Amino acid sequence: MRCALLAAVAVLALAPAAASAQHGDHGADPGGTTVSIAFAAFDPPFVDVLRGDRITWDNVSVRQHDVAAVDGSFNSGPLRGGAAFARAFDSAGEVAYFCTIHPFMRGTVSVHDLLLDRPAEPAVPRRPFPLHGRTALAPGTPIGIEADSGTGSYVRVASTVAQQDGTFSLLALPHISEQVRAVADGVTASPPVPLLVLDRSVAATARSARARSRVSVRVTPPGHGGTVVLQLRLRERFGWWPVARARLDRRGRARFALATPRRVRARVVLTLADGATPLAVSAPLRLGRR
Amino acid sequence: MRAVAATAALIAIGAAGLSAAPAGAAVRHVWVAAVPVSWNIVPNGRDAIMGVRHDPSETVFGTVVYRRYSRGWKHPMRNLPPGSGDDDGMPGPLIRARVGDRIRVHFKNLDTRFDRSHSMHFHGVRYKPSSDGAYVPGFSGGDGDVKPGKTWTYRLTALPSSAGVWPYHDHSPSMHESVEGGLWGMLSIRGRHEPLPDREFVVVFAPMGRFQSIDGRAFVGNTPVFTAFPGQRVQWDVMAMGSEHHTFHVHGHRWREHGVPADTKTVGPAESFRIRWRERDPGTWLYHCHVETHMEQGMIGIYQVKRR
Repeated sequence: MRCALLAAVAVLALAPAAASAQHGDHGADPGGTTVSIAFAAFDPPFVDVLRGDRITWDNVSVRQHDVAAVDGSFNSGPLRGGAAFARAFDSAGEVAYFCTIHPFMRGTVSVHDLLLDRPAEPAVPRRPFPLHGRTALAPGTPIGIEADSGTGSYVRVASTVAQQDGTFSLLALPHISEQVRAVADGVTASPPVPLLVLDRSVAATARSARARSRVSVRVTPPGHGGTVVLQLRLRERFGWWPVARARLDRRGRARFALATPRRVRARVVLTLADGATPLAVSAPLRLGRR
Repeated sequence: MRAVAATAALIAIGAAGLSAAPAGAAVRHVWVAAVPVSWNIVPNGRDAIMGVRHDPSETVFGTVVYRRYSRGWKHPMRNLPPGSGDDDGMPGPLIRARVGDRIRVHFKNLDTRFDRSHSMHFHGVRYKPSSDGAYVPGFSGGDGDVKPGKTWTYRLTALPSSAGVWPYHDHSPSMHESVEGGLWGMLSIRGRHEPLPDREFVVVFAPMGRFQSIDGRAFVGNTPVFTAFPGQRVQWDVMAMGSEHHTFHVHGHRWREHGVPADTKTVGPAESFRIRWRERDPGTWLYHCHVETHMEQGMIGIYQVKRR
């Protein structure tokens, strides 16, 4: 596996009119966070939330705990096993809390006006990669995207605006891995998230017999659980058409089997989990009888 | 082409009191769940007619759709019979029945993405308030507000006045965003002596983001590619969701509306109709909404009649 060093990110295009944004909150995940209260610790002990988000502390242990702010701004009262406590945070800043029954149990809530989603999968060099986030600022607020070039300082690489539903998104064109964050007003910044960039390739081979074909796929580096999509070049579909989806195993392999009553061109695309955003594409194949 | 037959679905209601099941009527059990999916409005990435490309960042979103399941919601199954459309979740299951049948729709809310209530509300069939599926604070029961992980069974009866095709859709507190996201499908009720068509095409006009979609997809090749052979009885099931009117048009074909030849028919929000003919015109034809701006925004597809 080759993992590149830190460097700047180039932004290909903004996508303020993304379908997800136009679908209002149907395309946005609900802003809720759960913290488990274990036998002797809060899990996770540190959480980043957006201003207005609600946190639920769920006592999953067998003994009684509570959740109390160090500054005295809230106290859940005693929580028996199975009980929960919820609170919304309406002011940006850090709130430290602890369990008064077991004072060594401590945690911190960091409340932000901007949050950039941590990419769930690595990007590929010089291919568009979507970044998404949420904001508590007003719709239309200019939001900048900054990248750490490896010097320890952030450089502005793009800008977009907050959507009506409180989301923002854009397409980045990364070359190598870096830290990225969202900023507004020149001072308000989201916690940075790592954008990992891997140089990945897709190799596909095919065997056809008796009007059926098998396609074997290998992705390098493997990326266990990654998504690959088999596409056929179909005249009636006016281009490449997805016909099957598979997950990569630990060795970065996957297989497809399909009926091919006629000869058809095929290719395999490594995508994000949405099965649509391409990361890497195999060379074309021929399926079916000659 | 000379149209052979046509049937409008909006039959005058006159037999609402008929509830006794006739001889030969069946009880049909349908298992449905609301499931989260990642949906791509333009899978081939282009408007082929205008030569415009569309990036997945514009066309992919997370949503919830109806999916047919085997008994007890054990295994996902096809929503549509082969040839009735792309079987990806929009529309939901095509629920077929015959006049006189009782229909039991067992619904489960598997919305783990948005953690919202959902429901199923059916047009065109008889049911009691407990199967209405509509949320009315202080009045409705669990039928209109099925919480995540919970279930409800809707008990419906197909009356003589139910013959035709009808919408069903979410009518829970999340109705607005859920219907906008594709939580809808169709009922297809045959008359007691009507045969099944050889091909049944489901066409749902609905806005989707900045696109106008058919079955949740936009532009030729992405919308369903319907196929038939000459001599087959084909049936088009057409409905609209959203807040706009549409005009359904098929190239190269005509049918009769109240005895008058027609090749275009208007459908408004939650209205529906079916059109039938015996196919006899080979070729690749367009079907589309003839509201020009809707067609330009993707409400267009192709229909292929192939020689055997």
